[in-house]
Amino acid sequence: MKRSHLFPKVCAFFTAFVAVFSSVFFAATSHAQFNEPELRSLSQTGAQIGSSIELSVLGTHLEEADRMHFSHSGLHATVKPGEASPAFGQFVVQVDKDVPPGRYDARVIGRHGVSNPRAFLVSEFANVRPANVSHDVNVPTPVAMNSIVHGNSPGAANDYYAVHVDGSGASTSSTLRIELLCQRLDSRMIGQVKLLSPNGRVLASARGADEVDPMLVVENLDAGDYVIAVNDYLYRSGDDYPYQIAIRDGQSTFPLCPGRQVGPESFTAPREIVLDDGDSAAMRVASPVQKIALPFDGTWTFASGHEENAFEFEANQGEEYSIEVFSQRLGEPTDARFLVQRIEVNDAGVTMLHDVVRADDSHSVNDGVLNTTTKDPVALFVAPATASYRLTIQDLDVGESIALRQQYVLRIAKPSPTFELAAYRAFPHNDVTQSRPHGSRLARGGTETIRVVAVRRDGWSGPIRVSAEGLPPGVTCDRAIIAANQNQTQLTLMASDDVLGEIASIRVVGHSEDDATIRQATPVTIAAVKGGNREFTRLRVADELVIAVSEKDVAPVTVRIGAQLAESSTIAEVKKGETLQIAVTVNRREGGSDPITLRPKDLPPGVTAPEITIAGDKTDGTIVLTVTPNAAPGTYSLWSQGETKIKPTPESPPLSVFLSSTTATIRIIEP
Amino acid sequence: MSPRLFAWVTLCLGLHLGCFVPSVAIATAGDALRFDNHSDAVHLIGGDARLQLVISRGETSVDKATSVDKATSVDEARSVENATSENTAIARSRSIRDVTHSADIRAEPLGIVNISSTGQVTPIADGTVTIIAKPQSTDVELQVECEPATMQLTVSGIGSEPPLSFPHRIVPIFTKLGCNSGGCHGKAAGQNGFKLSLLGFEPREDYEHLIGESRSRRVSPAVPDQSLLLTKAINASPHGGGQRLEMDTDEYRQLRRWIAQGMPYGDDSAQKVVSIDVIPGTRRLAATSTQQLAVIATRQDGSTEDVTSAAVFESNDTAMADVTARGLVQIHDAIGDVSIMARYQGHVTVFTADVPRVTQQPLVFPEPSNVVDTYVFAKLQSLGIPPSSACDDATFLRRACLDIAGRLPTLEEVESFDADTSSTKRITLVDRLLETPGYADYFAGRWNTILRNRRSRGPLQFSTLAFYDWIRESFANNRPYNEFVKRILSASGTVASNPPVAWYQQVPDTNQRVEDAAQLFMGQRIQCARCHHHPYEKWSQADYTQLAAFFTTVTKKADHDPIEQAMFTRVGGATSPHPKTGQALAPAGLDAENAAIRADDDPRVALSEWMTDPSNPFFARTVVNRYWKHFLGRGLVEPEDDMRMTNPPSNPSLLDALAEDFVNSGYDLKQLIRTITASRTYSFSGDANYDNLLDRRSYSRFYPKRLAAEVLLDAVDEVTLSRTAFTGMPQGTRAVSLPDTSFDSYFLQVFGRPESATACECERSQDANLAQSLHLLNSEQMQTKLAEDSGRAATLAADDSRSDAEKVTQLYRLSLSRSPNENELKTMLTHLSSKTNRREAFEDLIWSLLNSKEFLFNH
Repeated sequence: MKRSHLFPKVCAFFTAFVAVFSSVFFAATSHAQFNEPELRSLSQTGAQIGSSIELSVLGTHLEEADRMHFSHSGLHATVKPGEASPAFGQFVVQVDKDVPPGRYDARVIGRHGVSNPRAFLVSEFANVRPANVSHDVNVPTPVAMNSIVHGNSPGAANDYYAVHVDGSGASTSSTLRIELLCQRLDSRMIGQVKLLSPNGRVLASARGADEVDPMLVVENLDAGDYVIAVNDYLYRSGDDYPYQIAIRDGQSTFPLCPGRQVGPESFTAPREIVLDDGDSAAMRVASPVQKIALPFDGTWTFASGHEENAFEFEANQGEEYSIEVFSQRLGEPTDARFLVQRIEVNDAGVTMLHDVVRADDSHSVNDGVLNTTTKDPVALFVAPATASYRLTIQDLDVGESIALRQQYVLRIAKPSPTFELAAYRAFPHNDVTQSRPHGSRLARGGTETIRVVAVRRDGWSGPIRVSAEGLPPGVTCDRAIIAANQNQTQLTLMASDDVLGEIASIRVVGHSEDDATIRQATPVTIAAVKGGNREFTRLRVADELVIAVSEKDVAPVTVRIGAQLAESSTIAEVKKGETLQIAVTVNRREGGSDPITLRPKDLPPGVTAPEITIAGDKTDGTIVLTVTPNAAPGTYSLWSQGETKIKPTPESPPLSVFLSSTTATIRIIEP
Repeated sequence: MSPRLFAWVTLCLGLHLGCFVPSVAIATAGDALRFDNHSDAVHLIGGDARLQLVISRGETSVDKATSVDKATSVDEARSVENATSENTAIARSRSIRDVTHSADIRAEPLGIVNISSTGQVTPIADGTVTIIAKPQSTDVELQVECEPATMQLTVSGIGSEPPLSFPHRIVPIFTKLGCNSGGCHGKAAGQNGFKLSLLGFEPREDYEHLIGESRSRRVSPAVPDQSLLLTKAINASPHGGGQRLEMDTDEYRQLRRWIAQGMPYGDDSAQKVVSIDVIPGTRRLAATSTQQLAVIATRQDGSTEDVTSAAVFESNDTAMADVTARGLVQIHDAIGDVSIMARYQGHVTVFTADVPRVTQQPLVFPEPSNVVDTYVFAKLQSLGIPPSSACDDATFLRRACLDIAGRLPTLEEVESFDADTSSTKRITLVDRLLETPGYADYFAGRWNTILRNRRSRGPLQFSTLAFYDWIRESFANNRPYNEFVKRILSASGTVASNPPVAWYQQVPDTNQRVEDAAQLFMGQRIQCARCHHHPYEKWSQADYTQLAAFFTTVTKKADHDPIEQAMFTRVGGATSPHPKTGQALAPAGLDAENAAIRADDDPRVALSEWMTDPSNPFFARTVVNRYWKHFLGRGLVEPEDDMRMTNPPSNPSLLDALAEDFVNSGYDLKQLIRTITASRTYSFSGDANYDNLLDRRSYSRFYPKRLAAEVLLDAVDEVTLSRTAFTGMPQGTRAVSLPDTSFDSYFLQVFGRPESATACECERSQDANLAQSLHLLNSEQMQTKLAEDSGRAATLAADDSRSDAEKVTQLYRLSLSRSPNENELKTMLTHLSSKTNRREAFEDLIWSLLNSKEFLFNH
């Protein structure tokens, strides 16, 4: 078996840098990561347009938090002055008058970098936070109509508010629209809201769920004082259980947040697709069968229960169409499945249906943290004959507890092969289930990683070249390849030794080989870790991907592997059935002299590589890739996760850390 | 092989077996004795043949009271009801009397048959005889009044010993002796190395085990008497099951002869039993009387045979009657009705008897309020049982509140109900209670438990709460019951959107699903049929498998929480393999044709449509019976979720009428409750009178019920003014409002709160025991509640605005919904004045009330 050698002549290697960590840097951590700030909650999760509010932040590694970063430039925060120094973590937030209503990302910047985002809702309504909220239904806390009330889950109790409704009958003033926002505010709270009549009878109630907030619209109320009860459905509480309750009359029907809170899989739904919010949609049920002409794009409401929704269309032999249903990704509690059948009427006049294509869940990519699978179906349809076809759509989620009417958009169009990307800051740990919200702090000479997943649409099958753009000066990032048979990769940001501190909103962009297709990745963030009896990590689409570069810190260990995929550099080639040695260089400094174990990641199919350990007194090693004959030719990017221990100070006990190497790119060729 | 070659007992009547079964409603024998199991001539073939005579002294009049029990329509019942008053005395004096064991029976000529004192005929020689039955010579009255009964009997085949069939001759002996019962060799692992199929449902396997195993020592053709099969059965060899057989018995002789014949397996088809009947099928009997039964089997070839000696008998109420191994029913000193199941070769049939009270006094019934009273009164009339008087208003208020809302009446309710002079105030009360949150809480809790909605891990669980809330909302909004069941059975999606999906999460196994669904919604306990033919029903493994096939395409889909996964139906044909043959069976309901289901369809939709169809004989009857038990304390079928053929309802006409009314109401559960609670029957006093004290099944009075655990705890909390805290729930949450049964509470546990581990109502215990008494009398929890600073006793003691008499009255009205009588008030006031510590004195008063039976029971 022939070996190829990358190091030192063929490949460029990275150097590793070791620095002495400050004691502050490692303070208060039991299994040290790099202490990126984690913003758990804001004391107030929104404000009225044109207003100024005070808020404080809660989280870990938020020392010296003196700035905030919002995803809209019309939102400003200044740290409150203290007696001797600024009152770190306490801010005055100003919402400019030209900020459109909606949800924005708020981040905190402190000694350890920039935090993960938390939602901040800007609205036209007065925002209030009562000093004391009543838990006694008989003495509810009074609140005003057309206001937004801030609170925190009371735990095993209810928060009770009293609101006065004017008028009676069918006037808009007799309508009460109560919207409880929790999940959309990155709260762990699963909201439940009830409206009680003046005599204490429950008139209406609604509960949310994971990624769903409840809303009540109660009409034809008599004039009087009504009680609103709010609680977490599981009666949990904590500072990460904030809520807002928007109490509006019938004149305010516009959504406070654009659309419902939905999961990260929504990034595969084009943003221009929105659901009807009127009664017209309710009338559009495709039962009995609806005749449509292709291409087709329309919004419908699912028939009730287990009933089918059916369409018929004509297609000529060989015509190709992409058939896609958008519903769950738009926030509807649905689970669609469809079947296309060719209609044949035989000589006896009997109609026969022949299955052509069937589709259920789609866009399935799961890296253990980010799962892009949607319950919306999509399939490529190629007409086997010139004929009439029947498209039958079933909603497998026949429940009505979240929404009585459930809508979907049916889009049938000529295929347009492309890809969609999502990117998030990967939590540095060897167990992805430990992932949690965290921010960014790129130390001098250090690395941070961005995980990128790709969803291929309409038969897109080419490789995708992924890169980071908008990086601050002194920060570089090797491009990475998502090969044709892969759907994820990792970018490693690396700061130079003399990088200056900066906060930057960066972009992750994917290119097709011929650059004809360029797609910007949708930023995703971890909103909640598992816990509170919800055994999963919750993610959501974010407004931006923000990194912080620290000029005050130096990374203790940096690992570089293989060839750097520079614009003009060569790519190490290896033939199927052979092995490839990739050189590793570790730079160590004081506190970083422990052995380091390296585990190769994102290996191409058919390629194996055992983990290696580089002794504490060594700085070099070699990763050996074994390329089996079954490996597919192509260009691939791989990296290595390192696990080692560092000592913040000579007296400190060793702390375990996980770090990512730079990325290497190889090309597998036929023998 | 010709049937004549078998040494069987064959009754060659040449008539349809139905002619065999006497109709109680058409008793035509006058005052003469008669052979109930004889119509023309009887032919016994072979020395093993037996005939169990059933001899009775009949009546000439039409038994209208009995025909009430057989009525199948409301109109029919009403017409009978109109007739019952004038015929009361007749009805109570016209019991048909069984004289099988007391008659003088002889055969002429002698030497053809022997007849035992119990009426069993044994052939001994070929020939024809006349059997004559006369009243005992000591019974002068009968000798004078009664004509003797005669019948012709022919015996043939004596001396020829055709091979005995293993499945048709030997296996029934095993069953009769209990060898293949579930507690002995019939259990899955067998017993001490010898395994038989349960109740002999797999004779071929039994044969292989018996002949082929244990180095063939079990049977020895050369020395049959040394066969282990025989030596163990007579306990000559050590046998864990003890002696099962005497040597001088027909069974021993048959087993021995079969071994001596070389253990033939025999014909497997022609002699297969296709049905059995019991004679008589139904009868009115007097208390302490007896009734001999005979069991007739019909075989595949159409022949019939007396199998009484080989059949197994079982009483469904041993307090009413016992039955011997030879089919002699002994009625105890009781009134009511009882069923005796007879089983032979996998077939079952039932003898039912009603036992009226003997009296010549005319019965007086109130005007029936509705269909409930029509049939209950008819039954009581038939049995001669007088009803108790109506309960007073205070009792009714307490009863209705506890039964409908699971709580005591409030003081305000007691006072306003007392002050209400309206004649419809009881109906109004029920209507009002049905609209309170308490009704939804209480019934949601009951259903939640048997739907097994219980968290699988520590803190409150989303799916548990969501499903509970959905159930509760269903009751609050009075969702039609058929819709309620459909939504559960065909649940698809996420639990957040479709909470009934939680049922599929909680019941994750297909077998459990089919068994739970059958038991919950159809009262059919079909789990036996998973492994073998149901021993007490007609359900086969194929029936079970086809019902299970509806669930075979259910699968789960990963959702956010790995524990709370979404459920849906995958595409594909729903079939299930027969456990024995492996044949793929299509979905089918019980006693229903195969369902036509497309690959993309959800089979459970078809299941739910079949199950909730008005023509389904199980669906509506099961739920009305369940509710009947909730309100009246005892199901028309008991247990309420075991509605098998061999466990008939005590008042079938009432069950049918209630079910019909329920279906016609649109499966309206609130209306069902209104119907039951608006009846005079529900309003009967719980106090028995002299003549209905023995009644346990006919609802002549209200049967007191101990308060359910949750209701009792809430009641204690209310009276002591000390709320029990439940971890994770808001302060003030009532026990009946808890979303599952996982909350830690010794009180609830000791008072029989179910674990919610099965779909069976039997998990809930409402029995009384010593631990309960001790807990109420002297537990730390009770003492804490009584002595709480903000509790009732402290509040009353500190209240100087009212007199002690007023306070005592309030306590009585709060806990018992009535005012104290003069003696009670005097006693209480005396105690209060005797103690210097007023707070302790009130604690004592409350303690005594809480420990009174009147408080602990809904009466």
